[in-house]
Amino acid sequence: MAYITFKNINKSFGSLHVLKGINLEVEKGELLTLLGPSGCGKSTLLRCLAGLEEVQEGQIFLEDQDITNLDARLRQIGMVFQQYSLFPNMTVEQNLAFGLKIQKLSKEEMKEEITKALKMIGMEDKRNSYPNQLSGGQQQRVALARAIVTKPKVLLLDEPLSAIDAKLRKNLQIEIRRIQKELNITTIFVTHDQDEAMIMSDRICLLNEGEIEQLGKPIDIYTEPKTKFAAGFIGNYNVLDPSAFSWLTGVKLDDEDSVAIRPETIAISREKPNRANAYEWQGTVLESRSRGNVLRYTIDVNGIQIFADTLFRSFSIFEDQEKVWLSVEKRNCLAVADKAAKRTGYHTAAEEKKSA
Amino acid sequence: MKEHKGAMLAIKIVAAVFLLTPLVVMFIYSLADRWISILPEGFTISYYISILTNPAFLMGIVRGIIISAIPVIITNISVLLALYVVMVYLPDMEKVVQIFCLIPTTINGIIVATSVLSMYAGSGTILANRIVMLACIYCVFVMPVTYQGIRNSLYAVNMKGLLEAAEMLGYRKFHSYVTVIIPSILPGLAASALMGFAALFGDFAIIKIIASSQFETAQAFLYRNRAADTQELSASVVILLLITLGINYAVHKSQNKQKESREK
Amino acid sequence: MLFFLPLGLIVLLFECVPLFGMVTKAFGGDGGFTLDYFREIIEKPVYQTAVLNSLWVTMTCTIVGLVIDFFLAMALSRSKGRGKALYLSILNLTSSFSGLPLSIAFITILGTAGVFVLAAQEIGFAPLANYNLYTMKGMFIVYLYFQIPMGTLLLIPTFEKVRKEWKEAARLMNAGSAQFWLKIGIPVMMPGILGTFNMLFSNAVAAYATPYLLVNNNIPLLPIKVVDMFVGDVRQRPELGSALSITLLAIVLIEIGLTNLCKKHFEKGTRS
Repeated sequence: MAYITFKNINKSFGSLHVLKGINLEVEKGELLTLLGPSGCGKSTLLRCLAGLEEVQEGQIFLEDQDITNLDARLRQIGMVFQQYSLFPNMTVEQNLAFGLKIQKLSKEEMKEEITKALKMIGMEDKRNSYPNQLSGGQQQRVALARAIVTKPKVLLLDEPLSAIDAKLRKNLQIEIRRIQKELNITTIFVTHDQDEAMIMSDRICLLNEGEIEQLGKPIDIYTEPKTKFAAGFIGNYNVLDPSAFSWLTGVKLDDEDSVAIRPETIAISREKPNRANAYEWQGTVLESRSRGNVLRYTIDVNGIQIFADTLFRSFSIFEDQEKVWLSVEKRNCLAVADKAAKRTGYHTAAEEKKSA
Repeated sequence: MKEHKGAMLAIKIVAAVFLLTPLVVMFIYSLADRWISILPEGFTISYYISILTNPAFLMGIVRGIIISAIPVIITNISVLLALYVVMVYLPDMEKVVQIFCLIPTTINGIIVATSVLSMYAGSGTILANRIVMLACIYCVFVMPVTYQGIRNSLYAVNMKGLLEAAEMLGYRKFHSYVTVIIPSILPGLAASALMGFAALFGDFAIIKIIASSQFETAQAFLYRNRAADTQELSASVVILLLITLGINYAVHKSQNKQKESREK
Repeated sequence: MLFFLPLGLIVLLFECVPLFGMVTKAFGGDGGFTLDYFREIIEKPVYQTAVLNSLWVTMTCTIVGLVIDFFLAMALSRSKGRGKALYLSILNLTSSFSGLPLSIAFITILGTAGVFVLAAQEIGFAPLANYNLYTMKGMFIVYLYFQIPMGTLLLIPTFEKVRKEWKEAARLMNAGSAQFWLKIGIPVMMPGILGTFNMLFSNAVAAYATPYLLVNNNIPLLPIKVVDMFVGDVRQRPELGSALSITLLAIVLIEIGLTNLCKKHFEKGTRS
């Protein structure tokens, strides 16, 4: 059995069904990200594992032990919250010592553990500061140290970086990942930011409206989205419904399926390229926007808007209103389901490995 | 976390019973014909009729309203004027005004009343008049709540910005203070004024010290008749409570109005 | 400058001058500085007991009231909806039920011919049948009554400062709810609790209507003694009254000073 197993978890708040039969396994030592838009149930699932929310139906196993009804205090789980979770009346050191005191560690052991944890986050000099003397980023580092200093079985991170400004966030993402690998601690990370999920995760579990849309390695989800939602949420795919696709290509698809095309797989040229095994359309450039090192064009093809990305290079800049040719290889047009298929078994890491 | 729901409910119930019992008993008692055993022996509204036709009680209420309303008005105007000067011309003075306005929260009514009494009682000036003296002490007494109410309201409407905007349009500052600022803080002003009014209307200590024989308010009436027919006394307590309840309701209303107008 | 005049006059004539007069009377006598009146307060048993009685009733009813207020506010901060709104309006209503009407209500219930006392005599319920409202202990219940609504209303916002994340974090670190409140909840709330303590204390120490009506001069209490010195039926002694006023004021100031010291200790970390 896996290290952590969620078995058919259901949870409602009043009439709102937030978790609809979630089945999920997490392996020891991995960092799994629960990714999804707000309200998809990702935080609720995390809080169910922590014991902060009651599970109404289903079971949770940790190390083969059924912890569904175990008090949160006894689960040995560390957690970092969005923000403001440090105890304001205690110094950094006292915050870290709080959990250790309950474990009845000796004074020397405690000092040692705290020093080790502070070293890991690089904040030994702030030992005696109060939380309100620290910046938001520093506070979150301390919260992380506090969560790991008690050596929990699992580390939970509930959107810990959402209140941090963009530049610092990048550093902290890398740092959290480094610490997680160093400790080899099983970690579940919750975020709504797909870039963050791509950078940090071993595997991503994409949630939408209380159901798992797709589960897999970041690269697999990115290159092979299984559903319309996954394609739209992760890769900024162009998603064409069946009628639009057949209007453009003449190819008829199953009613259920849409077609997803990643913007960077679409080539733009002034001449008709005449490539083999590719669809080619003529269209008009509506606008272009720079996104870092990439230029994103919005192109109108017979009334359908298509996004195409090119690298920012001077010889391939197209003017607005210019007529251009788009071409995309047929193998880059992915059929995606409208909704996550009715699943019978549950997603396991093994199944994912097989399919990869 | 364990919510201790049972214990929480228990304390709410016990406290509610404790708080409501005197009110409920007073109410029943004032309507009871005779109540000297476990249960009252019948009900009547005759005590209400007799107390409401008692001119001394009615005059007491009128006197109470007058002697509470005048100081509230005087204090509100004084504080409004002073805070205008402070906010527009002398921001450094704010701390000083604050200290003097908040002193009466520490120095309670008894001390103020006795010290004023012994200072001016034999002075032979107008201040020796007990009613004037009472009104003036009441002004001091409601100063903290008035000051805080007005100050918070003025900060909430961004007075400085509004006055500057009006000045750019060619209005004199004091003119726009009176025509723009004060009307816009009126609900908040009314709330704090009513709170002050309620406190004065319920005062017994100060009136007892200064003027209970010269100027009998409803509270003083209660005191003089404390040994009289207790059902009638209960009826008058209930009536005074209803008046307070009415004021409370008005305070609540104007606070909500202030909130609404701020959210708009 | 003219605008300062009304407020300035009130403050000057009815705050500063009388208080200055009070101080000169208390320390002055017939010219020259004297501590005689304070010596009298310390030495004469009647004033001594007045001070001690006032301190005792104020301290106990403030502490007991604060404990009740704390748990009641905790219970209310966890409830929501109509029930909470109704409860808050009960608190608002009863917070203005004080002074003379409140004391009369308690006499009606628990006085010598109070309805509960008579009913208890009827069924033979001794503790209530022999209740004596006109003693320090009997009067205590009235003091407690006016401490509850105000203190609770003041404490509810303080409870809202205790964040859910702290409770959850503490719980995941295996801390029980008692541990949480002792180590985190109450220390964080301490400035608010101490502020409430101040309000309740100064309210109780200066309470006049209740003791005047219930025990008057049978049991000496500071506020009653102060007033007696100025308007009493017996010999009036404004100088001694001023000294007693200053004693009363000193008690309040010392209490505020002590709570401020406490506040400083707890405010580190919680104030930016």
